[in-house]
Amino acid sequence: MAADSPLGPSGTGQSPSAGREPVLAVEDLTVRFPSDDGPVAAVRGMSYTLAPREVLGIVGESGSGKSTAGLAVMGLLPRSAQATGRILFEGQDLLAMPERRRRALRGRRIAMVFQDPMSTLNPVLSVGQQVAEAVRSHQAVSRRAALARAAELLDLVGIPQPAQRLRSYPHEFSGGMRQRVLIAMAVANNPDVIIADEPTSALDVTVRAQILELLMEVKEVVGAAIVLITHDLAAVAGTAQRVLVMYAGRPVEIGTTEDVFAAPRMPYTAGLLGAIPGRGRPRGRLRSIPGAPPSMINLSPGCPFRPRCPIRREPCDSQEPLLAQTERTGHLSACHDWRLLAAEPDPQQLFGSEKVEAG
Amino acid sequence: MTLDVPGVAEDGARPEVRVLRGPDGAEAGADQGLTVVARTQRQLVARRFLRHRAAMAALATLGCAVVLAFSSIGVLGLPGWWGQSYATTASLADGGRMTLDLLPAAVDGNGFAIGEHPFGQDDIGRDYFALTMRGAQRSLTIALLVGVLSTLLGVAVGACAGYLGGPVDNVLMRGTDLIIGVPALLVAAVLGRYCGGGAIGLAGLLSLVVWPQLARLVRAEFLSLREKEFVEAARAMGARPGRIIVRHLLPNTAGTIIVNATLTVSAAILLETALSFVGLGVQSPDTSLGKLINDYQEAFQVRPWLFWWPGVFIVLIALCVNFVGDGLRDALDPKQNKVRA
Amino acid sequence: MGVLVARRLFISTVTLLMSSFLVFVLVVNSGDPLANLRNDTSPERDTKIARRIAILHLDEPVPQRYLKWLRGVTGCVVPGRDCDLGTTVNDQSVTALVSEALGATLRLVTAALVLAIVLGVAAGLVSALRQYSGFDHTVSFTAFLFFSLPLFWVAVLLKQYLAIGANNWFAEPRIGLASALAVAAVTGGAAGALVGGDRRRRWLARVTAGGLTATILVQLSREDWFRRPALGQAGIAVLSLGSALGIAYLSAGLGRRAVLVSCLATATEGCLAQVVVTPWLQDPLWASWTNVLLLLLVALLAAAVTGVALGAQDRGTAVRASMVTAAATGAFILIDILLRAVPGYAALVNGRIIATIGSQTPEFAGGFWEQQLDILAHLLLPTLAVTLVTFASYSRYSRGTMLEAMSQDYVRTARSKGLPERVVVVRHALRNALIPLTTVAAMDVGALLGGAVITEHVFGWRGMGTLFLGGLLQVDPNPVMGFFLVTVVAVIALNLVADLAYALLDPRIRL
Repeated sequence: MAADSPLGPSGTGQSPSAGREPVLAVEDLTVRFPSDDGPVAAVRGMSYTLAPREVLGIVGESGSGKSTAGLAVMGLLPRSAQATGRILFEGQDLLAMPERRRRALRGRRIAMVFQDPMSTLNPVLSVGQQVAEAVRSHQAVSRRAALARAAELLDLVGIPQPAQRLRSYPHEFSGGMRQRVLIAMAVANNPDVIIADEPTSALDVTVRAQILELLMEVKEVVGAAIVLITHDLAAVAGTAQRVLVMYAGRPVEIGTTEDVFAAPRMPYTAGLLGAIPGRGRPRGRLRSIPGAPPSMINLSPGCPFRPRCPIRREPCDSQEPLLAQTERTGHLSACHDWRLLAAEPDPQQLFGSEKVEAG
Repeated sequence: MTLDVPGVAEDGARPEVRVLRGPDGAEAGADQGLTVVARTQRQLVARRFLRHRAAMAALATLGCAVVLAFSSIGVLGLPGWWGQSYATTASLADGGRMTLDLLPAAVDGNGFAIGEHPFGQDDIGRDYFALTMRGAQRSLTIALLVGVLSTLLGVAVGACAGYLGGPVDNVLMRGTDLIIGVPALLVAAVLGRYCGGGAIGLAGLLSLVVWPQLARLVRAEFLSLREKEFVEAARAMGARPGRIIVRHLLPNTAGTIIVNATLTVSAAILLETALSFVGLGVQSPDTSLGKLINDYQEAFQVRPWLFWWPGVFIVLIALCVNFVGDGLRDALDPKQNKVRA
Repeated sequence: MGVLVARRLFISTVTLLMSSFLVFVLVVNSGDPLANLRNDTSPERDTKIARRIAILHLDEPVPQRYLKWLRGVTGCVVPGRDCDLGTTVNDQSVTALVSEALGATLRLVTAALVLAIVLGVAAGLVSALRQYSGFDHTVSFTAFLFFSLPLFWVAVLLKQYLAIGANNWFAEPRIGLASALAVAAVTGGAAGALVGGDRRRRWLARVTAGGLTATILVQLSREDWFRRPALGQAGIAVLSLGSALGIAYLSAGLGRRAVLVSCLATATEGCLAQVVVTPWLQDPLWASWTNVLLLLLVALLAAAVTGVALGAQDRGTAVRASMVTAAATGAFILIDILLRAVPGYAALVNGRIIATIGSQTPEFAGGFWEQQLDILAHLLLPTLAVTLVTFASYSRYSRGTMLEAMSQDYVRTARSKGLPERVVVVRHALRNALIPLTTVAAMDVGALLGGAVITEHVFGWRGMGTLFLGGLLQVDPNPVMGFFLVTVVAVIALNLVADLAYALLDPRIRL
């Protein structure tokens, strides 16, 4: 991880691997949905880049727009959604591409691993059929060859007796096994980018680490970059090189994992970190962020985090802060007063402690 | 088939989004300087229903039809505003042809007119408008009665079976199977022979045929609801079964019950008219829309309006009731696409 | 699974016994079976009454009469005994009456059910895929309208307007430009809805389909085609190659050459075979359904061989698609033969082709194909009536399940693999959406039989419905019980079949 890379032309978290072309670059992505109360922007001006083989963690509470941003990259938004901005894959804008060409990329160059393996596999098709289908959708091979490849893939993701398991149906698999199948389908065509949307949140805690580890192994095998969307900071800490924190549809902090975790420059990030139990504070107290995320309908001007912010000031009410460089290059934050946090020895202290013992 | 209670036509998702609303429908953030739109569940349902244009139009039309049917020739001995009685015979004017003319003068040169006998006269000179209104009154009464009675019966049986479970459930459900297994029209036709041709009696008998559908639905909902925490809590606080059913379970089943009751009304109209048409439902001297069509079927070649008007009213009523039911279902269970984020 | 079936059969039998007893008692007590004889003034009045008492066993208590009926019925399932459903008040055998009436009623119910499912599911599917489009709104409104139509009223309307209008038109079968344009507008609109996509594409589809329809209609009318209709070799070729294209597209997409080639080859084979087959089947010596079925079998075999030979990497898909193509081609050949029989049939029935009374022309003296036409002509309007009112629930239901399936996570997964939308819809969404339809269809058969009662009444068929209504009005329990038995057994059997099919289609259900 090179922390000394220059800022990108758009002034937002350019990929740290200088010199290498980013495989994916999202520029000012905005996604709007129509609703009973007028259009609602689930994602409001999101930008980031992803270098080849890099792992970028996107972190945020549910409703922060992180999954919507992931679906936008895949081109899987509901028909009613409106996406604007640019999503550049190897320099080509996906949003401007005709559907036919997008489909050729989908599953072949950009793949996705979804949340909740209970509902993401088709219950009436066998696992083999579903994996083979992923193979055949982009490679002209016979059914038999595709099934053989499917068995290989199942073996790759650590499913025992893959040849026999091809004939099983999803309901005959455990949650962790199903997630493995989803990963197998995602890497079937050796993609360059994998978007993993909460790949572990629906699983048992014991299985989560295994699946994350598998994802990282498989990524190395096929040579893909990963966008890891999660609300689980611990998952990001162990895997991602860089982290993007989202709040109310906007990125509020981007930086290398080390920088962001060690020296958060946005109170929200600090609050999130304070809510992780046990990180170097065996007997410390958990701190929660008071209040709830704002409604995305009729967002008022000003910083969306200000009602919950311990350091809010006058300008926060009128002006929404933009992502800006902090004291370190490549570490950006959307806070008027990031310097206040920099002055604080432990920014997590800003949030009052709750009476919950750390596990 | 129209003759069975339609419970299958389920509508799917709608494309609007509902964003970040708490489980009680209220939104968070009142003190955060954000615009707040707090609505209770009931208000949301009412708003969705009122915004359902087809349902509102249907409700208005249905209301007009009901008012027309009951006010025009009077009801329960009260006189109506329509001067003629459905029982008085008279001499045929212009071969009993319709005097209603809805087309403006520019089209047919006559201009709008209602005339003496807007729907014409039957073969013995009775005013057909009054007869049709009389038929509509009876058919509407039957349909509403069937809706109310069968809903009461269905809810009672379904609630008992679903809440009590065990042998009670078993016995009651075998009973419903017994009726559901036989086509509704068949049972209704056999039972129809017992009503003696009266509309009210027929309504009671038809209720005996159409309730099992609802009983099953209510039972299924009760089975899942009774395991929920809030029922558990009520039970722990010592609430009696009757109170739990009435205060906790029924309100949560209200959506299903209301929608199903509505659809039962439209099914009942069609069932009653079909029975009366084949001569097994309402008999003289009582009447209904179905019986009118049956009575004047032979006259089709010479006096087609005798056939058209009762039919138009059946379709109008059934269509409106179905649209209202659809609107209610949409409002109660919108199944909207959620924003995945 | 066997245990479950046995259990279901046992419960069904008990239910059947209880409900049949109930219906028997209800029918027997619903009126006075001697009512019409009491007013008889003829001298034989007392002997007639005595005779009826003997026939209906009125001197015995009701349970005993029921047991008598039941004893006769058990003969239908126990081998070695005669199936006896009792006699009517007029001392006719109900068994004979039922077996005579059943054919006509089954024809009506099956035809209506199949048509309603096919049309309803197709309409529901398209309106779900094009949700909130003009097509969706039209289908939804039509469904609501049909759903609210009283069957008997529709039946009378069809009989009085459509039949008479159509028959009058057949006397001088010409299509004017105005009517051709009206039909063209409808097909154009449907094509626009089917194609979807952007505005330009939709208008292109509308204009093409509409223009084609209008041209064809005007041309056919000019050539007096409607007086002597036939598809002809050219028509069969165009239709079968077209459907080969469609079937290949739906089953594998046009990208998979092997499937496309094998379908087109099968269609070509069919067209070539038609030259021999048509004259052979038209020969009164050979015309029979057995031979038609035999030919179909040969055609399917040939298609399978073609699929295997040309299928290459997609052998399985190619074989299946080719067999469907063969069936379609065969259907076109059959339609052609039937159409060629129309002039002969029209002459036999004085030009009134669309029949409104009965299920067949009594004492009909035509050849084999004329007879089939006769049955079809009598089936047309009743089927149309029942289909219209049944169509609605299928289109609404399949639209609902389809919308639900399309919003499922696994459909999104399928899209994320980069599968073409056709595969996503057919393989992933439609398959899941149609599974619950098996149950609905089975449940619906009972309602359809109820509808058949009304329809037969209107069209004067001597079917099961007539047996039922007549028996009920005369307080004659045996014909009513005959209808009841057939209906309930059919419903029970079909529900069982539906449950088994469900378990077969949905791997999550285990019996």
